[in-house]
Amino acid sequence: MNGAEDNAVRLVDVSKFYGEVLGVNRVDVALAEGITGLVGPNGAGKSTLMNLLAGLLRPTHGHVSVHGATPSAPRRFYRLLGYCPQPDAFPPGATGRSFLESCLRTRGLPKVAARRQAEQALERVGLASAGERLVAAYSKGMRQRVKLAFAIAHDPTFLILDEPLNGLDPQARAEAIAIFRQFRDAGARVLISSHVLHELEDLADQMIFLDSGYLVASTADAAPENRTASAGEQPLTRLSLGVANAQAVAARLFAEEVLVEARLDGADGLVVAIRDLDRFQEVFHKLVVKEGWRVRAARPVEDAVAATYRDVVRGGQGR
Amino acid sequence: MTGVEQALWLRQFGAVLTVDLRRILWTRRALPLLLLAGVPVAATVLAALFGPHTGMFHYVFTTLVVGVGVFFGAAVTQTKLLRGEIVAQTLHYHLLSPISRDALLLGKYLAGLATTGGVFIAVTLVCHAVRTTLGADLPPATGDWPPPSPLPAQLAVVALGCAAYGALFLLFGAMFRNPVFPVAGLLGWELLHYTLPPALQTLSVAHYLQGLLGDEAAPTAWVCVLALLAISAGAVALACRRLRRIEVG
Repeated sequence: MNGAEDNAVRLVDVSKFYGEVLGVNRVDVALAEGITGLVGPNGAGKSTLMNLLAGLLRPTHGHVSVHGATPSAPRRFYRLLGYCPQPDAFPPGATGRSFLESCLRTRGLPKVAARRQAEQALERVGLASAGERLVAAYSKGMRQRVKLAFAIAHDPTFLILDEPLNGLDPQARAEAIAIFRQFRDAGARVLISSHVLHELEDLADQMIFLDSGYLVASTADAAPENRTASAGEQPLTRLSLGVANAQAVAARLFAEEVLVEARLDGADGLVVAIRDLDRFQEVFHKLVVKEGWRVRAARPVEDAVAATYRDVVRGGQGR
Repeated sequence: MTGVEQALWLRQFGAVLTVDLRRILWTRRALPLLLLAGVPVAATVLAALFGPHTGMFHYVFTTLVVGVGVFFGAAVTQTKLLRGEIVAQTLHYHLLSPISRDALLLGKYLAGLATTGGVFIAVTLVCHAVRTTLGADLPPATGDWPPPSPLPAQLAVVALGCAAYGALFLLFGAMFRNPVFPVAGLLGWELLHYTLPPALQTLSVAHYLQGLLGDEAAPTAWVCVLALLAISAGAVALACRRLRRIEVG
């Protein structure tokens, strides 16, 4: 592994399936230093992607690495990584301080050091005065801040934040954003998810856009098949096909090598990703005639998402 | 593992053990355990005050301490150690720490074992004290009533019962979404084991616990001790394997 790879946070051709249900599909991207926004509608696969990066889920295909470490070596991996998870759940009976202290002690810190770092983390998120109260009695915003304290308490170099601004009032939101920026300024990588685009617009240095488990656009260092089209390169086109016996149709189209990806959408539906639309059309029309496929509909599926992305990200770059 | 790594492993293991001990003892989880502990003590007091002879004490120990207390005490404690955290969505806080999952599981198991073992060893000692003080004047057991087992044998049965049942219940908690059904299955198996062919009886924890209490149909005490330790170690190893593969999403 060379130095550059050792310094990177990478998802290499990562897919995650829950049985036949798609979580994320063939995501290949490297996160640059700074703040990366992970944007997509509810159910796009943002949390799945973050859980894969955090090692809480194992990829069905591909692998993840953080500065050369993988989740199979937890000692190194979890020293580098801090994660603010989405579930709003805490151990019963825990106060903000006891929760953080026990987490830091599980990390192997002696009692005194764990207490000191828990105190510092609570101060950073503005909860020092509420540390002795039960987390169960906290407001949603306070619980969100405890999770943020959990993520930053051990000073990680890669911070994953799953919807970290949810439930925060304007002042707490500004303080949280200041913390994210402190980490960025210290050279850390920060990945922040949101389903609200404008929330990340001013904050993120680069954006990744997920939809239905697919990486549909990115300004990070994505693999060619996932990257937003650059000069001279044809963009991915996604079509929704209403066609009988969709599985056999997908298999046949794959055999003709005209598909990049395909996903079954019920028994008679198929969502396909195509690089060369002209060739696909030529092959598809021939096969419809030859095989007698009954096609009810064929329509593009990603236009709305891609347009939103272009409006927000490209527009922002031009300002 | 280097010396530094060993020290770190021990600190992490100790932290998990301490945190889980606190959670078991200082939350509502302790209530069923205390209830299960109170029943045999109350029954022993009643037997000492009103019983016809000392034969009652044997049944209080085998039925209420081991059959009910140790079995269900280990069940309510150990099944929740992993499954409870998965259901409460708090397991990821552990999994996001640079701790080996084996150390995490061993810490949890020993916290559960220390709690159930501690509680029911205390119960056994209290029952023994009651028997030898309040029940000192009772006539000895006669006829079909066996005399109470010696205290060291009772303590060994409680400790090894907590270890073996606890390990099995920890495994159930790691493997099944709802551990109630496998726990019920094991209870049925343990209750009916004496009706099974001898080869199948050897697959029961109760078979070896009875051996420690001097049952002539069971193997010798040392074989029973080794078998119970092997069951415990095997179940914990399988639970470790399961935890290494658990995904939280």
